[in-house]
Amino acid sequence: MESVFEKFTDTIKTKEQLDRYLEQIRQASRWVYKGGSLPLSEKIKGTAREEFRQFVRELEEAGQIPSARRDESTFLKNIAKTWESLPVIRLKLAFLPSDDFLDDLTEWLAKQTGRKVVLDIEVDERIIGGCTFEYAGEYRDCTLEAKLDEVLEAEVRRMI
Amino acid sequence: MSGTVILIALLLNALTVLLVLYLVYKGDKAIGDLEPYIQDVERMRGSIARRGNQILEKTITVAQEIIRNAVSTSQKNIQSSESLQAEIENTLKRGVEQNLAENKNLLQNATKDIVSAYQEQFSVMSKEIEEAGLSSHRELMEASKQRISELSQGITTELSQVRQSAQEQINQELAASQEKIKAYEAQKIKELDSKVYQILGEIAKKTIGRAIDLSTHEELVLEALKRAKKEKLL
Repeated sequence: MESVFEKFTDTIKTKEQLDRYLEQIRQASRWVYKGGSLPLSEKIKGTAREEFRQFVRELEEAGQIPSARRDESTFLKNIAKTWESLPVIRLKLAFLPSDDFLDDLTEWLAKQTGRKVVLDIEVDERIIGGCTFEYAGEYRDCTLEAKLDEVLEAEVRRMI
Repeated sequence: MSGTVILIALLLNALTVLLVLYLVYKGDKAIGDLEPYIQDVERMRGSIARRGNQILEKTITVAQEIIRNAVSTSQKNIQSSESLQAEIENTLKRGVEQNLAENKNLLQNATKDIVSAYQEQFSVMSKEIEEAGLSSHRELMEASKQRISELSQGITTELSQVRQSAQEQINQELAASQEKIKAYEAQKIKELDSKVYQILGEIAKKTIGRAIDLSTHEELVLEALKRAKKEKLL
């Protein structure tokens, strides 16, 4: 059975989303010692994004957030640490990917690497098609731009 | 007591007055005795003064006459000096003029003689010079012709060598220039070609990318990732 935390983490596809949620956690941490005995999801109402607040509420309902304030703060810090440690694959694409494509991509990559990954996507039309790929210190240029340059260069060499 | 003293003082005063009066009387009497002598002296003084005046007048008259005489003599002397000076000047002037005229004549005559003598001498010399000149000219002409002929031959040879050397140098430089031009041309063509391909590439990148549909893009990405998997990057 997938936990609330795992379920929510699965929704994080891109580095952009990840950064956004990390910021939400930083903001939520400020509310731990404020607002009296209200649950955290209530304290952050109006300041945090709704999907994040919903995530916090689900955690509360599932009894996964400790009741003691100090423990609550540590819990949030641990979430942030877990998210920060997620592997990031940097991709440069020639088009803006749809959510479905991102889902397919992250699913496929998770299968290949055996763990949850986050995509750091940059869109650059100059690469024509394909992608550049950066992961764990490795880099590959699998773009049509690189291929075209290769062909043109060979052509120039042949002519000269 | 004081009355006695006053009385004595009054008596002494009276005595003093009497003594003074006596002395005055005696003085007047002495002056009266001297009066005739004083009158004599006065008379003598008047006579001496008159005599002195007479002498003085006489002296002045004599002096005036002497001066007049002296002035008159001087004027006469001046007049005679002036006439003597004019006479001497005239004499000198005439003498100088006469001398000048004589000298001029002498000079003219001497010049004429000298000129005619020189003319005669030059006439003789000119003939000699002319003859010598003509002879020298002929010799010079001969020598020049010979020298020019020699030089012409030398110059012709020299020119031929220079022309040959220049031709060789020009040929070398021309060949080098042609090589440089060829290399430059090749370089420029290479640059142009690469520029053309660069532009082609840019244009292709801008157009091809847009021509590819979304699903093809996605396929290309997946293919690229699969290749990465094969290369064990994942």
